[in-house]
Amino acid sequence: SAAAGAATGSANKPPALAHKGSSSTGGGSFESELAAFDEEEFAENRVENIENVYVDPTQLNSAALSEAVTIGGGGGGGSGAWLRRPVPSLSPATDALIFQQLEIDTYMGEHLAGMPGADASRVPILRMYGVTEAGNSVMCHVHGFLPYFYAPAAGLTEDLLPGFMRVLNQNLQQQQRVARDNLSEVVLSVELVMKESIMYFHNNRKLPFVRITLALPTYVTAARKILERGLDVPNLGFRAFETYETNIEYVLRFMIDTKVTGCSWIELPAGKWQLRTHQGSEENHDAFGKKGKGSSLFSNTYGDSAGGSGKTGLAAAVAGALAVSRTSHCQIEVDVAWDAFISHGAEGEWSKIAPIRILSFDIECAGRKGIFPEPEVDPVIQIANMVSINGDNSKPFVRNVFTLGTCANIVGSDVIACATEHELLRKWADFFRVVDADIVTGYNVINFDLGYLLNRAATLKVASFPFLGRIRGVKTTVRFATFSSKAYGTRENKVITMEGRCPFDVLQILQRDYKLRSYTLNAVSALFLGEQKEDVHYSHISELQNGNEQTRRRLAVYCLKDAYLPLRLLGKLMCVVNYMEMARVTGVPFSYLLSRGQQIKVVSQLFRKVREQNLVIPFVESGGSGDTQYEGATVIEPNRGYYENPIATLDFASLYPSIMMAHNLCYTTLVNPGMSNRPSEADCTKTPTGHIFVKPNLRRGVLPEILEDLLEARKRAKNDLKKETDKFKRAVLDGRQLALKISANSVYGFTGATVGKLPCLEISSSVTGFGRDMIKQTQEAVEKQYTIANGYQHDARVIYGDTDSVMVEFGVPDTHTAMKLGTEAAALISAQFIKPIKLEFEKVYFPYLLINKKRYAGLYWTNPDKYDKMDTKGIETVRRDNCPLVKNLIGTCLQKLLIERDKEGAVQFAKDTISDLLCNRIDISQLVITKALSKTADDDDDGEGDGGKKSGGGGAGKKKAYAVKQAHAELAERMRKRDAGSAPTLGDRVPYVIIRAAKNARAYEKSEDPLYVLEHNLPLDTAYYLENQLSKPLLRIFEPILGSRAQTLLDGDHTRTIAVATPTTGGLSKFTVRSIRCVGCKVPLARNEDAVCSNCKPREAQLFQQEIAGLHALEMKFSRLWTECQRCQGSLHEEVICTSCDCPIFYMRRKVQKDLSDQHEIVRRFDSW
Amino acid sequence: LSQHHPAQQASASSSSSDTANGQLERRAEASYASFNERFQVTQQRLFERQYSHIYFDRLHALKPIVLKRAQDRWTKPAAGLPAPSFVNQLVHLEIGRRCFAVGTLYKEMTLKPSILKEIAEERDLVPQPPRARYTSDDDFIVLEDSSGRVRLGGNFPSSELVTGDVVAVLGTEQSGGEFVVEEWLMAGPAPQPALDTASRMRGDELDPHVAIVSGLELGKSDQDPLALELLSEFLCGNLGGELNKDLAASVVRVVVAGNSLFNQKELEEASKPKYMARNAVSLGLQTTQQLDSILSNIASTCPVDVMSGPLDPTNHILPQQPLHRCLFPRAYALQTFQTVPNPYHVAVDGVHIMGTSGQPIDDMIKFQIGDDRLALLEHTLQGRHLAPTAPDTLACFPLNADPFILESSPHVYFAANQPEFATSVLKGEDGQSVRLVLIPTFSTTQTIVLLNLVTLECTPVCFRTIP
Repeated sequence: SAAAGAATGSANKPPALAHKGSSSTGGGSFESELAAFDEEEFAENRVENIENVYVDPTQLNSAALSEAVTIGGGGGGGSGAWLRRPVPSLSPATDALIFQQLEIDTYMGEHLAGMPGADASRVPILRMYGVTEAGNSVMCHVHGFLPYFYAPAAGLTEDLLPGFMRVLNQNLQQQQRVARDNLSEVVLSVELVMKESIMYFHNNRKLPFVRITLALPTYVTAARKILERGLDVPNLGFRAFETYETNIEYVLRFMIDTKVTGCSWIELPAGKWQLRTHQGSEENHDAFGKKGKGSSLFSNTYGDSAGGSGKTGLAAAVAGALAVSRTSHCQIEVDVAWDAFISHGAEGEWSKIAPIRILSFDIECAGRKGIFPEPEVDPVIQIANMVSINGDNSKPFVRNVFTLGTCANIVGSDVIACATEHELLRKWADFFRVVDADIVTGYNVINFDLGYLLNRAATLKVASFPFLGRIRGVKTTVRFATFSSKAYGTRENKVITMEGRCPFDVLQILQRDYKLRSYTLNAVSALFLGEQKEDVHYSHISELQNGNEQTRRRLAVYCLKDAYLPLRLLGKLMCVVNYMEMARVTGVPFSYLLSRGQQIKVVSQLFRKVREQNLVIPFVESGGSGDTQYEGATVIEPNRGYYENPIATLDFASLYPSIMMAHNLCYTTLVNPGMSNRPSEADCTKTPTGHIFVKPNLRRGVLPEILEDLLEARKRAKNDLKKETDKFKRAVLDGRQLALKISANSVYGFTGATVGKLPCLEISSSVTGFGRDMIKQTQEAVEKQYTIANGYQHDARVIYGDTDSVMVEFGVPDTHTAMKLGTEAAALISAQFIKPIKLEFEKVYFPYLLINKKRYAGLYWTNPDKYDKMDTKGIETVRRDNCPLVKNLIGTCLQKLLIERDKEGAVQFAKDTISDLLCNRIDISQLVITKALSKTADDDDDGEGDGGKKSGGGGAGKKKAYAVKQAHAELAERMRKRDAGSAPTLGDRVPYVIIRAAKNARAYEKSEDPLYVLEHNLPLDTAYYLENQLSKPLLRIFEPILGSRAQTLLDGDHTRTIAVATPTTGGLSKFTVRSIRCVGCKVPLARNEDAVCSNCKPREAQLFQQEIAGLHALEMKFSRLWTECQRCQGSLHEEVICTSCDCPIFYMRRKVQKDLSDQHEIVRRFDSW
Repeated sequence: LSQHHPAQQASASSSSSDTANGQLERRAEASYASFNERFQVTQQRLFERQYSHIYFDRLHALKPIVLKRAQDRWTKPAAGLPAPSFVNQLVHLEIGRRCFAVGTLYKEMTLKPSILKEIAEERDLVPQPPRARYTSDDDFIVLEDSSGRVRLGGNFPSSELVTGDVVAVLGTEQSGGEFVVEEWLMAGPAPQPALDTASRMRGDELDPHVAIVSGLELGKSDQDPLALELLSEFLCGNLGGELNKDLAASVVRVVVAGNSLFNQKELEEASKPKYMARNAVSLGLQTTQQLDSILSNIASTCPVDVMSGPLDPTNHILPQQPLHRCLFPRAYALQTFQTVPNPYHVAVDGVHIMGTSGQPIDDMIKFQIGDDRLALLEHTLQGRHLAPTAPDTLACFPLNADPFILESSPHVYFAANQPEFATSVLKGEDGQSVRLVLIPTFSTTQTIVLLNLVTLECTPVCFRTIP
């Protein structure tokens, strides 16, 4: 996957040949795995029988289906499995319709008779998309919900309202849109209500507010601006108004008001809903968006997206309440009033999950040499697809690959060979609609694959292609969105519109949830699934495509694997379940979780809570200055060292949430310093930062209530989890408790986010202030209580404290006593704090290596008899910008120190490694540093996965000036000069090593391609690695142990021996003649001597044996490495073509080839051997 | 032999006292031809190649032979069943259709040593225990050709077969993608050169013999030095009475089948972590000189072929090249001494003798549940391949062509350096008769094998000193 490869940011994202590599269990090649799917299906007695399949002719264009049904057959579920189960007969009058909604969007449509809301030609209608428990797809039009907001009445009285409404309406009528929207009235109603602003404590007094209801959500902002600017209210004069709740999206407003949370179950009670049965007439209904000519009564007009041109359908006018034609590809399409359905909270029975279809796919494109594939030029040659049902062990029940040109049969998968690319794209789009997935996933499909397909289809003019959503006639479009968040950093993403389907890109999930060294599918699979994956350089892809049906088959197997791995990752990491629970807990739609930041989740919860209490939230212009600083969490200075006694760790459970609850910190309880009749001091809490909050007896805060609910729900979930035995239900519950915990913690962050919806630094700074005090208080209490004077064995000492935990050295030698004292201390000190603040004893570290603030390592014990694991924080085992040697060396040293308790062994190991490094005995793969090649200098560290977005302007040669000279960028430029074809392009990851160069050479000039280094035997700058990579991390961990002796690690005797390889290119090698030298004494040999000189001749047997011993080692290495790759690729008869530089043996394999050839030559020089 | 010479067991206890008599007066002679050329590796730029060529060549060479047998056997219509058809490429197998196909076997075994796993474990410092056997319940077997793979099931004795075997299978592919095997077969023993018994008879003298010894393992610490001394004396005709001397005189050639040297240090080094292995340690000169001296003694009375073995100082991977002459300055001065590759193939008096220093059998046994090494030896003949598990688990050169294919069956076929002596005869369909022999390791059994070139019978001769 040339394209797909670079898209994920690796030069060569592997076309999936992945076989089970290292830790496979019972698996051979991916092919056997594929084949095994068929077997299981057979055993399960495949339900889907083509005759029984309900074919909804409106779902697809009929030609597509008949074609679809006839293809396949070689496994892969067959196209019969593409369709969803038939719909049972449904009667709106007597049946309730129950489904789990996954996605909600909105469109402009005509008012439907019998439904609430304005009787206008253009009203906002919501669409809920979901799945029934039986697996049928549902689309539900929700009518009559109108946008509204509040403003303080500010002198407006009941009798002034009509005038106010008229003026506001007039002002809004000047908006250009009004004419286009054909609206007579923009403001539909204005009424007085009693509300209270959430900001500050007001003695619980409600004030009059006006509630303004508008015809369309798009006018809310305009109305806000008019009110803020001020308007001349009849009989009152010119007034400006603050506005409240003007910055909440229409969809979210709807969800809040109807108590719909993300992924909740929706019940349409019998008699309250209408079923759309009318299919629309087939000939005029064209799924692919050619608009009806207007002659048909039932031409599809509802499909216009919200922003589309407003066409009024005749259908409703003629058919009235009887029938409106269906507008979607969903199996069941219904209408309901916004206040006529029930949304079930995710408790008990309703925490179940519907059988959701997840489609994962991957494309391969045939790029040109050295150029990143461009959709205008380079063809799409294969698309592999896997579809699974969530919860169904993630086993895909549809497996197929669409290929350009013939492709030999693949057991376990359908091969759909297409003669032209046009046909390939058309058939795939048909497949996409028929299979009707709820969630679309893959690896970087959003930023690369989908966009590429859409552009390619546009280039080839495949008219039917870009209709991938569930609404007929609506084109799928791509736009760019920059997403910026404190937690996730700034990322530029594409947004692909697919109405009713949730894009759920595994790469995006991983980038959000995990900090990794590398985000290539290869690296991620190795990490989470424990598999190495074959990686084919994209120059090979065109070769394979241009070969025969066998080579294309090989490519197809890679492609299938690439489609399968994302599904496995989703399953393994429980992504769908966890995200769904997060949506339920926080109440936001599923798709927001990836497309939006943390704040929206708190906003959703806050609005929900506030509504119950008749509070309103002011509009705050976001984007205020982000430079307001307040003092953060504190740390007790670490007392660095290596502790060989157990160190007990006392943790505040959910520190920040519990502080907010304990001290009733909230917007609603904050006393405004300017408040006139302030409550008495006895009813207030003054925080360490000097802010004043009222106590709960005067007013219970909203935030503490939200937090209580969350933590209460978490407790319930954890209890249920203990009782639950079903594996899948356990996963759901575990996902929920995790989501609840994260949510509780994000409330504090929300109040501190200066660029946010409702920042309140009084709250956040008070929280951290309390936190600091509590840590100090804990320290004092422990050191006061646990003293020899009080009858304990030792004086306890707090050696370190950070944010919410305190490390205590009780001085006792065994874990049992330490744990006993820890538990006791936690209880003792907890009593000093206000509920629900609680100090907990969780674990001891023993031994414990405290390096610095936020840097430590130790063995982690929760059970006094056996340690749980080795725990490290802030140590070079996770950093991404160093070579693997550092990670491995530090990791091993820590193991020796902490687990084996062998200080000398650790020192010796470090010395040996340094010696090996200086003597050139370290495998080069250990020294490779990898960085992504990107346009901007500061983008390289986290940009590894998102090269795809740059594909548009990418390609070789187009290179902007780099702000800073970077080693890997310089190298890429040099490689381009050597061979444009194999040089890395933008978005690729560039692996490099640092080589020895002229004395004053800068670091960026010393970078070199590891393969080039191997071929030319270039000497590595081992001193660089010692000084710049190893020394700091090593000193860090050894200084607490060895003190000043640590330095000897870096300059002791073991560093005296240095070996340097002799380059075969560059520098002086041009001027030297390589003469044949004696193997024994290196003396140049005479012409008639082969291996040894006459002086060494008597030692010949010994010298020979020495060389032979070297040969042995290399031979074994060669054989083992190359057979490993032969196995990994799953074929004995084909050459290994993998170029995965992420694989730990890739460079070894190349190096041993060269070393063995050289060694073999030396041995052959011995006479006549 | 035993019928003629009941006392041929030269036991040290009975004959060590009687070593006074002089050299042999005359030694039997025999014609000799070498077929070892194909085991000599002379190609350049060898290691830029990969292993796929070997598999490709093997399948290419053996497929027609296996196919011929399969067609003979399976294309006769059986009762009630239509004759199965032959599917030339595995990818063209059809679900539900009874057919037969030919391909290379690959056994997927989770316990097979994997360098990837080792690297991962090296970093976790959890050593991988060395395994004597690789079998586990998760194993499965696939058939592969250059077009694809299919998993095999049904009536298939996967424990008898090893990776790299070329087989034909008759059966039906199930919808699950598994090919359920009804019957299977291999190439069967290759044709055998004719043997003219008369030319080998020596009238009223003893039948000529070839002595095969393996695993002298000089340099090993717990050696029995006397046994080696006795062996040398026996072969030189200095041991025992007339019978023993006659017997010694009938030995027309001594084959030293590998592992003549034993490098204790190197083995120790190999078990240490890599970073400790500073420089490979070579064997002391003393040990090689001792070997040179023993072999030159023997060679001065009788022709000696020295094969390379896994412990010898030559290349490790198969085919192993002959030991270098610089190791044998004295012996190489004699015309009667030569070093030969492993595998080894010669004809003595027209009797084709072929064998290995034991690596193929030692490797294949790891794929087995049982311990029948003779059966494995026979298996390689049936498969017409000396070392089927190479290159997968048995290291070999990445050659263009597969050097281990058996184009003809030898008359005597041995595997050396085995735990104990065993022998049997394989009878082929076309009248082939192959004497199979396991040559025991001398350093642990003090036993050599005498092969009668007329009867092709084998006799173990033990030089154990009785304590």
